[in-house]
Amino acid sequence: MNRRTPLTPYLFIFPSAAIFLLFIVWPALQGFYQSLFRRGVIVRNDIPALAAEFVGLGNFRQLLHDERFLAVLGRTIVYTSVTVPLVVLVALGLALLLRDTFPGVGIVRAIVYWPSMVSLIIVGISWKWILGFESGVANYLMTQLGLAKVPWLLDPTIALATVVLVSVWATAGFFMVIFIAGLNAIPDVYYESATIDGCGSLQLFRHITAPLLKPTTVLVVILATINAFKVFEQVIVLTDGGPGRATVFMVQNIYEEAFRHPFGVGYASAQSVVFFFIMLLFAFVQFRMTRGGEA
Amino acid sequence: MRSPLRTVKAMGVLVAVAIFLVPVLWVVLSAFKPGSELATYPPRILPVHWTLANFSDGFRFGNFARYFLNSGFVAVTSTVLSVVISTMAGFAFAKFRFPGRDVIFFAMLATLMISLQVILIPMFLTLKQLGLINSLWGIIIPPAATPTGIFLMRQYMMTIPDELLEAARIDGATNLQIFARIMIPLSVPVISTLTIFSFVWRWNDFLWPFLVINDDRLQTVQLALANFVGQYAVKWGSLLAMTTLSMLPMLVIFLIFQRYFLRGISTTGLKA
Amino acid sequence: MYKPPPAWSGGRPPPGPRKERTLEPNSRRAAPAVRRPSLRSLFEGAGDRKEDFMRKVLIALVVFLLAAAASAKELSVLWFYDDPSELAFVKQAFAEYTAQHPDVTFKLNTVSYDNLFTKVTQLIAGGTPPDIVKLTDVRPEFAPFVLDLSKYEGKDFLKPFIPGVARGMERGGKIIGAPLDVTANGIILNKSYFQKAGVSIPNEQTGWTWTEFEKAIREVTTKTQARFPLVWDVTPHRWLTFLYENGGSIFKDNGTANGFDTQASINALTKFAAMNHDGLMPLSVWGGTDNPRDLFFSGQAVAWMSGSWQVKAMEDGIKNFDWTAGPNPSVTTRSSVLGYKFVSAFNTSKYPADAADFIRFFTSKEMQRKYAQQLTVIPARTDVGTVDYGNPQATEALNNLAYELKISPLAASSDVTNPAIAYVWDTLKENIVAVTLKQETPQQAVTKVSAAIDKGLAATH
Repeated sequence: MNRRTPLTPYLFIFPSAAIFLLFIVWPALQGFYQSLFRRGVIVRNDIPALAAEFVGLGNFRQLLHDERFLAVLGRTIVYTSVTVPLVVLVALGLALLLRDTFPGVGIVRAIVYWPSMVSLIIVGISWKWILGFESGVANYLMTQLGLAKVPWLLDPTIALATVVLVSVWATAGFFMVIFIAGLNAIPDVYYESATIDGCGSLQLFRHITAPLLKPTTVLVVILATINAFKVFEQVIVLTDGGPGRATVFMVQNIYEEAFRHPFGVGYASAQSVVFFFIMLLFAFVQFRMTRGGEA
Repeated sequence: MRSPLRTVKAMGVLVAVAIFLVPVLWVVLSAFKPGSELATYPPRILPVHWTLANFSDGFRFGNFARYFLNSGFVAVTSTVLSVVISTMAGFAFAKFRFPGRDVIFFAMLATLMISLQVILIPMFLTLKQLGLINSLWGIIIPPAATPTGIFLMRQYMMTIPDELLEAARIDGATNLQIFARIMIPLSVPVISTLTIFSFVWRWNDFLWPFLVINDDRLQTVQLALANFVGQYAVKWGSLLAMTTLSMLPMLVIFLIFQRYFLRGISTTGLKA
Repeated sequence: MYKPPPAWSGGRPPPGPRKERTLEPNSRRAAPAVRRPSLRSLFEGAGDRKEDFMRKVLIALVVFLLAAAASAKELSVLWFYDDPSELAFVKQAFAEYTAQHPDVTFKLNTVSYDNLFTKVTQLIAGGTPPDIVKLTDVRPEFAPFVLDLSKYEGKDFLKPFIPGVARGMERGGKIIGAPLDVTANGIILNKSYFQKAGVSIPNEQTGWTWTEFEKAIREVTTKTQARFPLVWDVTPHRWLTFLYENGGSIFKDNGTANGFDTQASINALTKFAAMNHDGLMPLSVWGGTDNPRDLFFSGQAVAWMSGSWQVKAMEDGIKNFDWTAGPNPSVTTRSSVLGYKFVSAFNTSKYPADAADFIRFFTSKEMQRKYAQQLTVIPARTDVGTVDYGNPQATEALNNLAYELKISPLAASSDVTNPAIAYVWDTLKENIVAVTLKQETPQQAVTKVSAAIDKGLAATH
């Protein structure tokens, strides 16, 4: 290593990197390797019924023709493309609303952040209570108002929209908190001098807030994207992938293949490999286009 | 001219509270409803007969006092560890130029994209080989490295002016001193943020505890809550009751640390 | 496995690597040269080398004596449960067994039902499988590890159990487990609503046809505040009740061939779908995620196709109306469906004979009676006699359902105990839902399910 390259950054990164390598990267590589086989959860080459069968790229070839897989993949990408802008806007709006300190702001922030404090399963359950077709609060109110019951979770298209909205609701608080930290990092000095110069609220936002918030915004967009791709728990509770298979997304597909279909672990691994590279591509493009958030 | 904006903001806050509060209320209030009231028609938010039976049933189901202690220990320890190593890594990525910087950073981010379901067994075997099975350390250490946390730290620290560090270097400060005396104090808002996040993540972790813990007495609250989901039916009353209790520590941590989301901390740095 | 000694932090020099503790009764002779260590100093550990050594030897001696008295075998047990009273029962069984066999102790670990398969496979893959486990089926993924109980308990071990279940416990000449309890699918009725509407429920001997049943529950719905005549649990296992009631089956030829490609299947699928659209059942249950149990418990439904495992929950949870179970209506046949849970051992166990013996003990006649009584379930043994469940509603319901199971056709128990069924469940459910939602025709569903059945048969026969 030449003298110019500092050792310090590597040392500072080392603890995190070591944990990643040991506990995530190494098993993930094994997961990649798994995708080259047809196998179950347990592999024992001394027991014929449980031996792993090497199929090379066979699982991947099968994926190309798997209509169900392709449909699920497409749906997941569409879902992500719709959810991410929504959640970023909502989170930013909430952050602008709740960045100031007024009496009770802590409680309000906690209420908005609450969905992150409970598991997504509880989030799903509480929305199911609201949106249940026959007995839910929403449809009860509709009937009281003389309107028809809405098939929130029964109609394929409406169910998709419902899942998007519930997910936005469930994750906005988390991103709001990040935005608040980012917003409050912008020194007051800039706002003060700009106001003295006669700038209005909108101009303040356009010329000061937005540019200085860029690193945070990039963070939120990339995290929200990865998060949206991995949607799972709340969907299981809300629709279980239904009606029919209209709201099945990638993680559910992978999970079912690995744990419900006998000897599906190899195929599920292949799916997760493809899925990984697609997410990687999205994140890479976002990262590059925004230069990692550097101002 | 501030008045209309204030009114709009106030209304916005009320709307937000309404939208976010209803499901929370349902969960918390349902914990006090007897079983027969959980699925009534017409639906009601408020219980007709308030009861604490769900709570007592929940405690009967398992040694929740111990589970809360386990979860608490894990959450606190892992949060401390996570904040320390994430802040260090964030600093390195934000303020240094070194070969492989962006690649390593992106590789860390990429670990978020791995579907953990298919690598449960390899993860388990690694934990086993390192002797971390059936030990709370097995759920403290592995999740402490979080790409989100490092990403958060990096983005935030990037906004701290390089001039500050330059000035300190000229004065002869070592990297460690810069880290401790400049970066950390200026990063209080984001460190508070990460503290809240990390505590919540560890408290709500299910996957790692499921892999690591076999002994009932080492269970965390989340593992114990899963036991309410039986083969044939879910014990909603107890589940909602214990979930409500489970929320409280996180609420406390949130309220404490969110006070540090203060405005304009950076300005004090410029004067130093 | 050698474990490295803990990190050293100064003070006395570190001990060497651990030596195997050998029994040294004669080492007591070394003692007289030194002040005899008191009991306290045994544990205080301060002092010179000789006392140190003495301390270690005495402790080793004590340990050896204790160990000799009880060369402990610890059996690890993995259990899932719905109610903590079941755990209490199991622990009590452990205590009783250990009282009779002092050298056998137990370590109980629990898991939730949803995660059972993941946990079992994880433990096996990690090299630490449990010795004993409670299961609902033996999945192909871990089938090779299940212990053949007949080796230890004899080929006639399953004789005292209900024949349908016993058949399920035999795979390829091996006995893979001992049945714990059986469940029977059946119609659960809101008796209070029937009384209020003045409609009578036929008794078990008479029974009713599907047409009579439908007419009755529709009438009850109009005359009471119920919103739906019928709700149905959303699982393919529950749907099978209707298949059998239409005279159909999944397998045929003694479970070796596909028996699903028949007119009976088409009738069952068609009629079932129709019931979701003509007001008999709310579409939001099978077509969505509304919960039928909630609907029945809250008095919104008159009848509920579920089964005997709900009796305990109803006993505890339904306070504002009377309920009962059965008779199951017949289209062409009157039928229930068998369900079962069993306890198995893994052949990786260090103490297979003890594991098998405990299983024998746990499913013996007296234990079965207590088990059925405590958990409010139907025992799997036929020689238990009548079980007093304490609660008259529960007793009537369980007896009715047990009777339903007894008079069901062979398919009602032989289908679910066929190993190939593991390959069929998910496809079956998916296609029932698809037909219900009018996304495909019954014929298309039959074709797809038949494909899954053929695949399952090929994989297991």
